[in-house]
This record gives sequence, structure tokens and C-alpha cells, in this order.
Amino acid sequence: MAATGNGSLLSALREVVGPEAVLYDPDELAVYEYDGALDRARPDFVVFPQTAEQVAGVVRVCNRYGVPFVARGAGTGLSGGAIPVRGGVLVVLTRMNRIQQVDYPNRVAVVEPGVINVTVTEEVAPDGYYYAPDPSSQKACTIGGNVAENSGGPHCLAYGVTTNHVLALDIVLPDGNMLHVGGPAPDRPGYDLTGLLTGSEGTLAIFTRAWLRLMRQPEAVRTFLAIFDRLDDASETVSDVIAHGIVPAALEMMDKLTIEAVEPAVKAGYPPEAEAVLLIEVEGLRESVDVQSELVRQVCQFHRAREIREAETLEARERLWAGRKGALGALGRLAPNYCLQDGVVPRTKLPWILRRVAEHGRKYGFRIANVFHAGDGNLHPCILFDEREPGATERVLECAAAILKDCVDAGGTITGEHGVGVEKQNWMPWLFSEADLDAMARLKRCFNPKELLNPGKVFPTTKSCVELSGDVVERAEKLGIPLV
Amino acid sequence: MAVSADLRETLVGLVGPENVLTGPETLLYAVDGVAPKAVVFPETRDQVREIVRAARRERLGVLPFGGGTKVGFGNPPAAYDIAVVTRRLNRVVDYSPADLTVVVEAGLGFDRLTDLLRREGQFLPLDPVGPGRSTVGGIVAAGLGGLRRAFYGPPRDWVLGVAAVAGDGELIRGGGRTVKNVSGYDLCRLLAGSWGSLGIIVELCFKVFPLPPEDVLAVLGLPAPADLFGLGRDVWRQVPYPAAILGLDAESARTLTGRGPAGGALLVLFSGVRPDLESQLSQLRSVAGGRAEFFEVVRDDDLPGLWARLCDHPDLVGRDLPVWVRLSVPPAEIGAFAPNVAGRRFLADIAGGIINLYREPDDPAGMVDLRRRANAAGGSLALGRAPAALKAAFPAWDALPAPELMDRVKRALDPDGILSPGRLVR
Ligand SMILES: Cc1cc2nc3c(=O)[nH]c(=O)nc-3n(C[C@H](O)[C@H](O)[C@H](O)COP(=O)(O)OP(=O)(O)OC[C@H]3O[C@@H](n4cnc5c(N)ncnc54)[C@H](O)[C@@H]3O)c2cc1C
Repeated sequence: MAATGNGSLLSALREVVGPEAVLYDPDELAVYEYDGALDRARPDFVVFPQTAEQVAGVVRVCNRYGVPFVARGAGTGLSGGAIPVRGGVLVVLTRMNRIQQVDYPNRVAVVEPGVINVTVTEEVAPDGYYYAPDPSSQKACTIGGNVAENSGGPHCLAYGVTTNHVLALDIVLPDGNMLHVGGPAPDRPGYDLTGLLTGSEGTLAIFTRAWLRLMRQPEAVRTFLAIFDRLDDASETVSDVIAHGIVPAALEMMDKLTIEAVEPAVKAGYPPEAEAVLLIEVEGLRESVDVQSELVRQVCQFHRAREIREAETLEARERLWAGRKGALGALGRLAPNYCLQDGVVPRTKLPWILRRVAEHGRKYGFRIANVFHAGDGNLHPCILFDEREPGATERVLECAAAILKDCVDAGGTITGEHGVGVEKQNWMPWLFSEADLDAMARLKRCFNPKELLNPGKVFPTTKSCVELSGDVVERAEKLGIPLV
Repeated sequence: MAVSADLRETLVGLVGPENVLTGPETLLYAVDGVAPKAVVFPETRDQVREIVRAARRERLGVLPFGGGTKVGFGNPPAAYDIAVVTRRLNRVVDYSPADLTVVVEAGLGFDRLTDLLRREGQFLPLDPVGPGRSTVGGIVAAGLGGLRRAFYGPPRDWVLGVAAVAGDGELIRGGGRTVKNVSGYDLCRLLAGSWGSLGIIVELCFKVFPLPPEDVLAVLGLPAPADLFGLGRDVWRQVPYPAAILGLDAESARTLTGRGPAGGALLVLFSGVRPDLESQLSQLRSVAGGRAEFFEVVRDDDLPGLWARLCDHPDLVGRDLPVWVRLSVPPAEIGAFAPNVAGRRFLADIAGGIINLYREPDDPAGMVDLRRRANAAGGSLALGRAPAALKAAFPAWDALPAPELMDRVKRALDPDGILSPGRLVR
């Protein structure tokens, strides 16, 4: 190909995906400079490929021009995974949104990466099946994003997170080559590249198709709301339920501040004066569900639950869940900004860590709401703040760091499902030695040797995100983009 | 040989003379007929690191060795100088029943772990072959799903954290000790099924599960072999939550259950509380209808022994037969392979899509054809054991998918290719 000239990257991209599928007007790009987290970085181009070949074509163009590129699904990610910290081309996969095949005998659905999570279950539910991982954002987030983040959800307690449900992937490597990894047959020979790619936060390859495991709907489901006057009682109930040999399908906790936010917005029926509620779902075969429900009740009562309500109808069940799934959105109304963290502790450490979270909140002067996957020990402290207040953002990050450091000290980790992304990368050394990180870096180079795909993520960097994103004018000039 | 003398000295310096074998006992650790020059029994991860570093300096081939139950898998080693036996790395590092997690060293025997967990009413549903001999490290390194895999998933689904000594002699860790964790790349999955070619696993954190209140195994005798897989798949579709659906040929059924129906036996395991088990059994009866000539239920004290014998299928079903073929296909396609197993000894996981077929080494052309058919169905064929002559003519694995990428991954963790060279990848 001819040498790069002004505007030639633009025309090369247009050639691959068509002129209407490339954005470069700064106003249009602005929507793509953030995801669900706090950091921002503006892409120079946004493209909307419709086929795997187009994705590969875009990637090859990026290689030819040496520009970085980043895959993006719905942009609901909570760790800055989809923001292009070094600019370049954002490859948005939302137009690749077809469920291509449903194979019930093998219990597999073959989907494009832009398919919205909940639509998989909607597609197969009439036939008695579902796709288990259900992030609270499931009405918006894409399967591609789920695979990249190895997303979890309320119902991952019993059935595992995304990686337990992805059987195979079609991928485009950062050099533009297309590959298929994994398959619907068990125990394939060779390294589990599907497993390595899942949770790789968009840094190893772009997924263009996924084979997902379908599960059969349970025979019986019972849903409870247990109401507590003390946070400690609620968190002790959580570890005690598990200790009793019960693994509920879901075991979620919301604290008083969350309830305060949720009730006016969603009207889920959570009592506003409660200190905490647990949303507990038990499912399986009819009798075992009854046995487990009884045990759950007893454990809740033992820990002084003020009341235990059972959803008697499907409608009531959905209302209870609407509160949980709408909680983050509702929290958004309590303050101009929030910083949501995702640390994990061994479940038995829940009572301790929740006390620590409250202490950190007091120390740094923030209100912190807790709405989280309690059964997994996966916290979601949501720190409310106002970024216009001088120094608030810095203090929020300090507060978040203090909480996550506690999680690590308790034998846990800094992220359970949202990913390391840009925000937590410099905390990785709390968990991993230099040798560990170096091995991971070498693995990354196997896939992404020039680091053109999603650079500057996951692993510690010395530069801050803002520095990395460089000067917009300079970048624009280099890429031949007209700025006015 | 000069290398051996030096090597012995080096190894003895690292682990002491009582933990190095260089004499005829090394034959006990032979792989595909090749004995290593030395066998070492390290007790700490630092010793494993030093051994690997020493081997790397000399470019010696190293094979990690657990219980040896799956040593027949894989292509013959391209170089086999040192067997690193993990058996003395067998400590329980941390068991927290209330967290449903356990951290153990890789050489711990699966049966010992099972005993430990059982005392707390918990278990790890991996069903490895040779449960009495296999080590947890070997189970994960092989990554093969057990008899309940369709219900509980393969070993990699149970690994929360891993520590391994990579081919460069560095200790690397992935994952952690919590049930959820997405910090860093998933080295647990990468090492599961890597057959000792990326690192020597030294420690593992597993997620564990509460033991089901009760298990029952229905044994259905079939009059004709043709219906075994068909009935098994019907059960999978129509009866909720079987924990396993297995098929046995007539002779193996007789060996294992005492009865040898002409058409082989279908075994269906259910786990849960009594009333659910009864209702599942009655659903099973109605699905089976007149297709079974007998229907027995094995429960209570009779079940664990039978289950352990089923897990020992390479020695029992495969008794006296030198070739173990492990066929994996998308589960719904398994019925198409009924003609290939007719008249032979086999144990099939009908829910999971796996057939363990035992046979003589005759008919390599038939094997080639079987592999081609497995591939066409979207599956694969692996040799679990075979005489060297057959392995020389017939690769132990299918051609690996994405071979260049696999090769790069191998070099990233084992730059000089000293770990299990040639067994899975170059
Ligand atoms: C209100 C709310 C609730 C949430 N609840 C949960 C929850 O319960 N559990 C949970 O785990 N997460 C949750 N999340 C986080 C988020 O929804 C998930 O991480 C989700 O999987 C992101 O999907 P996405 O399509 O929005 O991906 P994006 O944000 O667009 O991208 C996320 C990452 O995936 C990469 N990526 C996207 N598509 C591809 C592809 N095709 N190939 C390769 N890489 C790709 C991107 O590069 C980026 O690194 C929540 C978020 C919000 C806003």
C-alpha cells in the first residue's frame, strides 16, 4: 500500500466498513470517550464493522498505519477497558448482533459479539433454557464485553461466571489473522486458549463469535427477601448459609443507603428503615428447593432477621429483582458521581470487610453504598462523590485503594468481575510478583506483540492515563484528521 | 554417562541422596518405554525451581510426574532426562470449609483430599481415573473431565488459583483464593490441560462443594447394544439433572456390576434429597419404558465402591487391552459412534460426549478413520495408552488447532522447551 498521507487512514477504514460506518467528527466521538468508569480518552475514529472479515480488515488497516485500536461493546464496562487511552480506532461491535444458531441437543448458542446478554436467554427461554451469567447490566451489555471481562452476575454463585459458559470463540488476532479456538466437544487437546482469552479485557484478541453453553431452566425457584436491623447480622447470615452446605442460586446484599436510593426509583418493596436486606434465591428440584428454603429461613432467623418475605408470584419475584438490578442506576441519583469498586474477600471475611468499608468512608468523608454479590464475597462498594469538589476525585481513589488493599490483606483480590482496566493496574503488584506479571506480559506478547490492541491496560504502568492519551492536536495531525 | 554423573551430583546437592534415583528404579517412571536418567522427589517449591534451573542450564528434558495414572497419554517425549515426582509436595496449605475453598500442594493424592473434605461434608467432583493414585496436580495438568463432567464441569472449572514453576525456573502464580477473581490473565485455565508442558504445578486452590445428601445409581440392562446411546440421550433430554449418564458394554457391565445384559448397561446417577431422587428414578423408569430388560438401583454403602471401580475404568474395563482410545465429541453426536464400539469394551460418558474405548493395537487404518469421523463431528480422538509401535504410526493427539499460537504460548513460559518436550507440543 501507498505511504500514509493526510486522510488516508480515514479512507482506508471507509473502504473496509463503508463510509457510513466510520465516525471522526469530534462531536460524534465524544460519546465514545468513556465507558462506565471514571477515566476518559477520546478515540480518533469509531468504526462499526458488520462481519468478522470487516473486523480483520480494520485491524489490518490499523497495523498498516501503526495506530492503536480497541474493541468496544456497549461501553458499560466499569474499569475503563473500552476507552482508547492512546487514541486510535475504536472498533464498536454492536452491529454484529445476531444469534446465529441455537443447538439444543448440544445445549449451545452461537452468537455474534454484539448480541446483548439478555437476548440470549430471551431467545431460548420459551424452549426451557437460559444462559446463566447475568450481569446486572444484562439489558445493555454485550456478550463480547462479557467474555472480555469474564463477567459475573447475581446468578453466578451456583453456576459460575462467564468463563464457565464459553465453549469456543472466533477471534481476530491483533495482526488481523482470524482463528477459531475451543469447540463444543469436551477436552480438546492443546492449551485452553478460550479460557485464556476469557477475561483478557480486550488485550489479546477481538472476539467475532462465541459458542455459549445453555442451561435447562430449573424445575423450581423460590426467592426470599430477608430484612435485617444490623449489617453485621446480614453479613454473618451470608457466610453461615454457605457454611450450612447450601449454595443458593443467588445471594445478594443491599445496605441501607442502597435501599434509600432504590425504593423511590424502583419501588421494589424494600423497607427503608432496614439496615440491610438479602435477596436469596434457591433453585433446583422441587424437594431440594423446599429443604434448602427451610434451612435458609432458619439461618436468617438465627441471625435475627426481622422479617423474611417470600415472592409468591412471578411478578413479586421480578419486583424484588428489579430493585437489585436497578440499584446502581438508582445510586447514580444520590450524588453527581460514584466510584464503584469490585474487591473480593473469602466469604467468612464479609462482616469484617464491611466494617472496614464503613470506616474508610468515615475517614475519607464519603458516603458508601454497598450492593453486591454477597454469596461470592464479591463487594461492590459504591463511593458517592462530586467531582466538582476540589480534590474529591483524588480522595475517592485513595479511599477505593484503601478498601481494595484491605480485601487483598484479607486473602482476597482487587477485582471479582469488572476487570483491572486502567484504574486498578497499578495495584496489581499487591497480588502478583514481578515474575507473575512478567509471565503474563510474555503471554500478552504472543498475541499482541506490537501492543496495538488496547494498549496501556491491566498491567502496571508508570505513566498515568492522561499522559498516555497524549496531545489531541498532535495525534490528529499525525492521523491526518481535520480538527475543524 | 558423564552427564548422568554430573546430573546426579547436582540433584543430590539439591534434594539429598535419598530423594534421587538413577538406578534401575528409574524404569518405574518410564514413559512410552523410555526411562529417565534421574528421578527426583522434591519436597518444596524452591527445590522444584532449582531442579528446573539446573535442567535448563543443561537443556535437559523434564517431565513432572504425579501418580502416573495418565502417563500413557501424549506423544513419546522428545527428551526425558529427569522425572520430577511431586508426591512429597503434599501438604494441605489451607482449608476453609466455610469459604468452600481449599489450598493444597500439587502432589497431594486425590483420595487424601477427598477424605479431608468428606469430614466437613464437602467434595471435589472430579472423578479422576485411578482415584487412589492420582495427584491433584496431575488431574489439573491433564485437565480431563471425570464421569460427572456434564453436571459439574471439568477440573479447570474448579481451580481458583495456581502456582507453578515455569520452564525458565520462575515461580508463577495466577488466580487467587476467592471464588471470583478477574485480576490478570487466567493462568489457571492455561495450565489446566497443558500436560506439564508449560510449568510444573506446585500448588492449587480449589473451589469445593457441599456433598449431596444422597446419591443413587440406576443400572439399566439393555437387550440390544443398538439402543444404549439413544436411550442415554433420551434420558439427558427428558430427566432433569442426572449427575452422570454412563454406558458400558456387556462384558464390562458384568465385571463391574455383576450382571451382563446382552446390550450393555446404562448407568444413571442422581444426587440430592430422597424425594427428588425417587421422582427422578420414576421419570427414568418411564423414559426407559420397555427398553430395559432390568432396572436396578444401587445406593447407600454399595455405591461408593462401584463408583470407584467405574473411575478405575482403564484398569477394569480396559483390563488386558493395550490401547485406550478417548473419543470426545459434541454430546449429541455420540450416538453416531455406536457402530465403532460395537463388540468392544468401553465406558461412555453419554451426557458429556466421551467414549473410553479399549482395544487391541490392530487395525491402525480403523483408528485413522475413527479420528477422521470424530473430527468431522467436531470432536477429537486421543490415545490414553498405546504400544510404542502404534504411537509411532498414529499421533496421540489430533493436530492441534492454532499450532503457531500454541507454540508461541509454549515458548513464552518455557523458552528452551525443556518441559515435557514433544508430549503435547514440540
Ligand atoms: C449498571 C451496571 C451494572 C453492572 N453489573 C455487572 C455485574 O453484575 N457483573 C459484572 O460482571 N459486570 C457488571 N457491570 C459491568 C459491565 O456491564 C460488564 O463488564 C460487561 O461485560 C461489559 O460489556 P460491554 O458490552 O458494555 O463491554 P465494553 O464496556 O464495551 O467493553 C468492556 C471490555 O471488553 C472489551 N471488548 C468488548 N467487546 C469485545 C470483543 N468483541 N472482543 C474483544 N474484546 C471486547 C473492551 O475492549 C473492553 O476491554 C455492570 C455495569 C453497569 C453499568
